[in-house]
Formats: sequence, C-alpha cells, structure tokens
Amino acid sequence: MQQPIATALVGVIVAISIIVAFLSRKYTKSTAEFYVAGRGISAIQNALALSGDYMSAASFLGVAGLVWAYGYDGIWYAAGFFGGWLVLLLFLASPIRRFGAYTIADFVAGRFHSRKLRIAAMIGTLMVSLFYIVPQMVGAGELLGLLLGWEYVFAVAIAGTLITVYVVLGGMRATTYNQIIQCILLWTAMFVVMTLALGKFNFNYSNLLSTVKEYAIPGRWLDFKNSFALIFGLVLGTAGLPHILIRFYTNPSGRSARWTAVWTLFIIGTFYMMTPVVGLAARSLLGNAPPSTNLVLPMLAQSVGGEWMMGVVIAGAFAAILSTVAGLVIASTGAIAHDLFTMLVPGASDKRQVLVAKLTSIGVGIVAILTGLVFRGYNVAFLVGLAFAIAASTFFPVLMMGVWWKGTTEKGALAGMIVGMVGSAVMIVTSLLKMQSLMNPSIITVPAAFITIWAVSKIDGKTPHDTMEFMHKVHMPEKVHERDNG
Amino acid sequence: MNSSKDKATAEYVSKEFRKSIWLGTCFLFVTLILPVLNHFARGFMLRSMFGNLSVTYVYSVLFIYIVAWVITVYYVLRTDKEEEAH
Repeated sequence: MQQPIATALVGVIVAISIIVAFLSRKYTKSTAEFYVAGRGISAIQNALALSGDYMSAASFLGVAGLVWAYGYDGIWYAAGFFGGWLVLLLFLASPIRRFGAYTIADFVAGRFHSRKLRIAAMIGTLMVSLFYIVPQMVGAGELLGLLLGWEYVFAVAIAGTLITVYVVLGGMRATTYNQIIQCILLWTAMFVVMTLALGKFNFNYSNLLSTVKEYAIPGRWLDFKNSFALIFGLVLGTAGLPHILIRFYTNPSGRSARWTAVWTLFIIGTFYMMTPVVGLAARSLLGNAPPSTNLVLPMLAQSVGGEWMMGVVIAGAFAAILSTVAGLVIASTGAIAHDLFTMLVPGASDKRQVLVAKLTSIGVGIVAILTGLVFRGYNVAFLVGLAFAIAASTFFPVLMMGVWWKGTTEKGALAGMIVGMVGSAVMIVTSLLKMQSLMNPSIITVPAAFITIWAVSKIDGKTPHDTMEFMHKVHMPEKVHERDNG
Repeated sequence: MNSSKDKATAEYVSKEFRKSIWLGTCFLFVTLILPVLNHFARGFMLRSMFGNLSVTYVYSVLFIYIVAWVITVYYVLRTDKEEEAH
C-alpha cells in the first residue's frame, strides 16, 4: 500500500456509496423509480447530481493535465465541456422533461412512432455510453494502480463491481444521492488545491502567469482548424449525451428542468474556471515532473498540501469515475432493458421490467469491467472526445429537429441519425488511421445530419399525424396542461 | 386537436424558438469567434489586459463563462415570467 491516507479515503467513498445504495433499495420496486427516481428529484439536487455525473475523470484529472501539458490549448476542453450546457438549457431541457419518458429512444420513438428509430437510438445510446465508459474504467485502473499500488485488474474490478452494486441496489435514486456526494467532494477538492496553489503566488493570478508565459498563449497543440472543430464538437456533444439527457426526466416539471440546468451551469462553470489555474500552477511548480497528464493534479496536491491533500484528490478522482460510470450504466441499462425488452416483450409487468433492468445492470457492469481490461493503455481524454463527437452527430440534430421543426418526418429523422452515427464513426476511424487530419469530426457530421434530416423530410413530406399534439405536450407550460386536463 | 389550439401552439413554439435561437446564436458566436480571433487577430488577442493576463486568456477563462451565465439567468427568468403569464 503506497498511500495509506488515500486508500482510507477511497475506502470511505466505497462505504458511503454502499450505505446510500442500501438505504435507497426500497425505491427500486417500479420502473419509474429505477430509471427516473419517481420524477421527484428537486432542481438543486438534480443539478448537483448532474454535475457529479458530468464531471468525469476527464474533467477532474484530464483538463488540468492538458493545461499542464499544452497550456492555453487545454483550456478549450474546459470551455467546450461548459458551453454545451447552455445549448442544452436553451433548446432541449424543458421539452425533454415534458415528454416524460425514460430514455432517448422513448423520446424519438414517441415523436415519430417508429420502431426503426427506437432501434437506431438504442444503438446510438450504447455506442456513446461504451465510448464513455471505456476511458473511465481505464482511468480507474491506471490511477488506482499508479497511486495506490493496486493491480490494474483489481482496480478496474473494484470500481466496476461497486458501481454495479449500487445501481442494482438503489437504481436512479441511489445513483443520484451518490452523485451529489461525489460532486461536492470533486468541487471541494479542486477548490482547495487551487487555493493552496495560488497561495504559492501570493494569490495573484498575474504572478502565476508570469512564471509560465509561454504556456498562456494559443497554438502549442491545436491549429486553427482543430481548435474550432474541438470546441464545436464539445459544445454540441453535451446536448446529445444520453446519460445527461435522461437525468432531465427525473425533474418534477419542465420549469424545474430549466432551473436544474441553471444550477448545473454555475456548479460546473466555477469548477472549469479553476482548472486552468491548477494546470498552469502545476506547470510552474512541478515543471516536467509528472509522468503523465492524469497524474498532474494528484502530484500538485501533494506538492502544495501534502499526503492528506493528495489523498483527497485521489478519492475525488475515484468519486468522479464512480459517478460518471453509474450514470452511463443506467443509460445503457435503459437502452437494453427498457427499449429493447419492452419492444420484444410488449406488456411485460412492471415487476418483470425492474428485474430485467437489474440483471441488465449487472451485465453492463461486467461489460464495463471487461472493456476496461481490453482497452488498457488507451488515451483517456481522446476517447471521451470521440464519445462527444458521436453524441453530437447522432442525437443532437435529431433531437433539435424533432423538438422544434414540425416538418420533421420519420424517414428524415432516421436518415439524419444514420448519417450522424455512421459519418462520425467513419471520420473517427479515418482519423485514427491518419487518412485525414480532423481530430473531432462533429464540424462536418453535425451539419451533414441536419441537412439530411431537412432534405429527406422535405422529400418525404409524411409528418406524423399527431405532430401538433407532440408540440403542445413538450412546449406548452405545465399550467396550460393543467387547464387542458380540467 | 382543434385548429385554434394548433395555431396557439404553433405561435408559442415559434416565439420560444426565436428566443432560444437568438440567445444560442449569441453564445455560439461568442465561443466560436475565439479561435477565429486567435488566428486572424493574434496580435490584439495577445495584448496584456490585466498584468500578465492577455485578452485571449481573460476571454477564455472568464468572459465566456460570464456571457453564458448572463444568458442563462436572462433566459430562465424571462421564460418563467412568460409561462406564468400564459
């Protein structure tokens, strides 16, 4: 055991997670409780949970690490991860909640009454979730292995098993409460490290920058084309992430969904504003000492706050991984146990659906562990960027057009989704094979998907018969619905 | 649904969309113009603004966030007010 304090703090996180799940176990008796916590999570609770869900290892460790490595160009990630929330708030938060389903596939299938779209959305959800789970599990294995001396296989197995246990035991409610605790830990750890680090520069930002002037200018890593494409992909990708979108279903109303997004913007905004300070302070205080970008934050914490602070950061990183993967497990479980199972076995009882959901969560947990083992050594931040690209291309255009344009047809939506999904996958593969130089394909595939939806819908012209009823349901205020219902 | 209800819904959706697209475009412009300015107006963006903090640095670590928060609060308060009045 290399870090007894950190190991003890990770143990505390594990114990709290299990206790919360155990206390929440009575709330998993219905599908509404298992998937959306009975739609009874308040705006501020949901904002904390969403922030915990969203601030993954890539945000907690990765952004500060990228700023340490590349200076200003790493800040693009912080701005992009943050900016997506505004797009989500302005265009999708309220309508998605008002539709009141469980999964993204529910939403598109409900809008267009299409089995094909349900299947496409289910595949898209699983693709995005898998791309997102892999780096989290790889991060868990490498971080706990390097810092606590745990075997990679053991660390991945511990993280995967713990997440599976608390999702199965407590469903969305336990996941929510755990994510709230994890969010507070993450934010506080980042704040304390930033404060201690700034203290080394007399709490003067300008003094800090004077020591790392060459890292405070753009262009060390990304050229114009790739910086533009990256920020475009990250901003639009957030609004297409299934594990984030489904959390809006847990709000009691559309208004509450909006306030959730507002609080989330403040929580994650203040968090991302701290990451450049931490990254540049690490560059100034540690130089080239960190062996990898993922270890920059723990090493800075040790440098400015000793073993205890390092322990808090390691526990925070573990919490970041747990909260994000738990959200992804719920999203993937919904795609399989809800979208696929209810399509194959229509009319299955609620009790049976919950049982299938729990079994599916176990299956997804096992897949998460296995993929973590298979993809050992892959670049974590790069894989997360790819998940955003697929999410932006697959879901954002179809959700935007489905919610706001009544002329969207089933064929248009399906064609757009396929163009986005396949196009982004092809662009990613060609980029990996060095056949083209665009690192984030969204700048091409998102407009392509939008144009496809518009063009095919115009040619097709067969809008669903209840389009206006759908528009009424997702856009009109709750008061109007109450009046409608007498 | 009857046609008057459809018409009211269509008008409401159109009004909401205009508001969201206007605010969304403002934010995307503020965000996406940064790499453009860094490329085409590099000299200006690297000028000192506060001590060693350049224009581009202040823009990326502070200005984008403030703009987003202002838009957020404006949008939510206005939408709440409109829904209340509806």
